[in-house]
Amino acid sequence: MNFRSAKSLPTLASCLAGILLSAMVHINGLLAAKTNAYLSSTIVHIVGTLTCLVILLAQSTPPRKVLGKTSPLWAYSGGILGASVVILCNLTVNSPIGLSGTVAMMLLGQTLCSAIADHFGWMGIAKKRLSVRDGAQMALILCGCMMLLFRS
Amino acid sequence: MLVAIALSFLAGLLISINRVIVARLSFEIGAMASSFWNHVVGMIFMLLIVFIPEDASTVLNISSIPWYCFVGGAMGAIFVAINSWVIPALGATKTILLVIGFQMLSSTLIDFFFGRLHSIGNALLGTCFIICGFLLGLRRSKT
Repeated sequence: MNFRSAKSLPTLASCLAGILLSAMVHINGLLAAKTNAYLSSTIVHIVGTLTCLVILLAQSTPPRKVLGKTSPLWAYSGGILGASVVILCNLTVNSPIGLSGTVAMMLLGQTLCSAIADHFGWMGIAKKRLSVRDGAQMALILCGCMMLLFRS
Repeated sequence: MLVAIALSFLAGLLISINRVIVARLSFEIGAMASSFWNHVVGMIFMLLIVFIPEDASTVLNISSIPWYCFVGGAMGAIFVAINSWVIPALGATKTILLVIGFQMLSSTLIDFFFGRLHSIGNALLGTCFIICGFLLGLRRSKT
């Protein structure tokens, strides 16, 4: 990697961001093992809220920009799903499928969800019919998941 | 095990919907503020779930939990900060591929490190298949 290039630092950062995500799911699972899946999600969101506040303050974001004005109320509701995802991950990461199985199945779920959303043009996304390539992509990811899940 | 597979798949579906909702809010107030609301609403939702039905203090003994168990909550917020800095520099496509690739690879290695894998070969091959699947998807979006 050429460290003098303007893009090498962002490239390194996004690799670290990927590692950060798996470490996050792993550590939240450790917390769930010490408490339970629900309490772990609660603590995770309390710590996350405080961290967001610190970052927003560090970026000196004006409070009126944080509040927002024109967005519909449902745009603020994502956190309910986010909290549910942390509960689900806490349950599965401590199960036999482990961290790699959890991450793999989540990626499969995301791929399928976005392919379906594309196909039917849900949520204001431009309609894009499913192709052979989409099928091949899904088959590859599914094969990979099976190899990870049924590994014994 | 099948229940765990179904639950983690469901988590993947939910996170997709969550991303669309969070992205809608970030159009107006930016990624970091949107993530803040994501955490606040999640926190309120969890506090209602955990503290209304039963006394959580019976399970929660904070002093017995090692400090590093609390770091995970901060990581989600730090991830959003890194992402919103990296995406303008690399483009969304390259960023997503790097994040997913290293996420998949590191989760396999963490499982291996903690002795949760029987064969690292099989797991790494599976990881390669998943990363190749995403590569295939990205080539489509370029054409």
